Amino acid sequence: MTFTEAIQKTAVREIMPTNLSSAGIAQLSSDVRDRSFFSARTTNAVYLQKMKDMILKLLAGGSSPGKVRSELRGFLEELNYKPEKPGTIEDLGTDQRLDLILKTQTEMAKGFGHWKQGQSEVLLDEFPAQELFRAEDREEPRDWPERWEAAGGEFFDGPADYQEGRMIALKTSPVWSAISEFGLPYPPFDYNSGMEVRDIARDEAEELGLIAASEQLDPDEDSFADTATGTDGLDDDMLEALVRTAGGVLREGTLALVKGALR
Amino acid sequence: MSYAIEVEISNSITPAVRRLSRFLGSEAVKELIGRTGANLFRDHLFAYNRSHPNRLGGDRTNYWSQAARSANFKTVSDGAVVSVSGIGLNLHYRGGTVTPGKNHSSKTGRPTKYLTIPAIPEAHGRRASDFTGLRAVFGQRGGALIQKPAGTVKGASKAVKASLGAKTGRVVFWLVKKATIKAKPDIVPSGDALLIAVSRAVVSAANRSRKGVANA
Repeated sequence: MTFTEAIQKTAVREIMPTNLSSAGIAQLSSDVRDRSFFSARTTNAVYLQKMKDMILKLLAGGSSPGKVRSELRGFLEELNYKPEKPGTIEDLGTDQRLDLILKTQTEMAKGFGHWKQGQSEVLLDEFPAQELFRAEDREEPRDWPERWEAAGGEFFDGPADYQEGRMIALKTSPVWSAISEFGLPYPPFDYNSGMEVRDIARDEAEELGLIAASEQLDPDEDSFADTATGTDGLDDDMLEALVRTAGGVLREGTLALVKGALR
Repeated sequence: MSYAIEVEISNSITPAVRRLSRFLGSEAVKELIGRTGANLFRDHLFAYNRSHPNRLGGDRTNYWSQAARSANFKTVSDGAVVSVSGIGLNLHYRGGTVTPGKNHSSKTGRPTKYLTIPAIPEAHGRRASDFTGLRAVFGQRGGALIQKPAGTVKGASKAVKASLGAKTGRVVFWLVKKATIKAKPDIVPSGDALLIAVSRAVVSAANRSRKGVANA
């Protein structure tokens, strides 16, 4: 699959109107989230379709984030959208909310593209591992070493962003999905995260003891699973909310502040 | 808009790589070259992003990081093409002059007559339509979008204040008829860096292949 094809995977995503909070959406299995282009508390399918179209345009270079933001705000006005809590992150028209969605969705598409391109037998053989590193500074960075360790990740010596050491693992390691807020093996690993991955070459991976000289890794299957449900593990209340609100109207309720979204 | 930078890397980039491509199989080598090139661009642009914050000091758009994330490759008949993309990327690389008129004003709906240049940190990465209460004022040396409430013109030199006369407000954007972007050839990794990285990757794969352990 080419990078462009991978990015355009977003085009096959269903639009799932939902009034689940961002925290609630995080509980959905990653397959469902993968397949569904969503935004917490947004149940207007027309608006979601517009958002999806604008993001695809952004990824194709046909627009800029500022223009997309303006267009989406204008579209909300056409829909006569009235926010319940104006000026907060629950307000669909705020820069905060729109920026968060645009940033997360476009980065996720690029993350998937990079990951997918690396999944050929040849490239997995020559770059079997990757390193988690800080690409962008943040005022209040998350404790990634803590998260990495809790997910079973190992630390290695060498120049690192954190005193604990370098965070490196085989690409097939479950640690990548485990550190991800979205359950996906590619960045972004959380909302507004400045962490990224870089390939680790075979020679280095062998020196670090991550892989034996004769060992070969099997490419991972497409994370955009073509399953009908993917709701395993969803508790009954969440599943009921999902079924009831698909295609429904915006409901009263509070939106939990997205963890770290404003960092 | 200038959108992508593409660099073609031939699988004959050095005599050694050419020989090894016959040994390994040219398709495998092309993939290696492509991924290595894309990785180099990623690392280079992520590093560039960290060392080049915006001059106004406002919230960062991390433009170069976004370009880094877009780095990808495709194989072609005699090698691989590495691409990185982003609005204005090619313009930054080659330099050039930007003039208004390609977009439409959110206020009038007509083609824009001026470019807006951020004058305050909060304006970086933002459009004029993201602000409320802006009004345009013009003087001999150009124009500005200023924001109420009324007060002395802030953020402007003496000469510009004099030119704007009695107009008041905080300057949020400067209005200009054109902007010249200097070429930044250093946003692309050097040819030497590319050569070293590609050669290293191909030699490593070839060594493994000789030992009978590689997939290539």
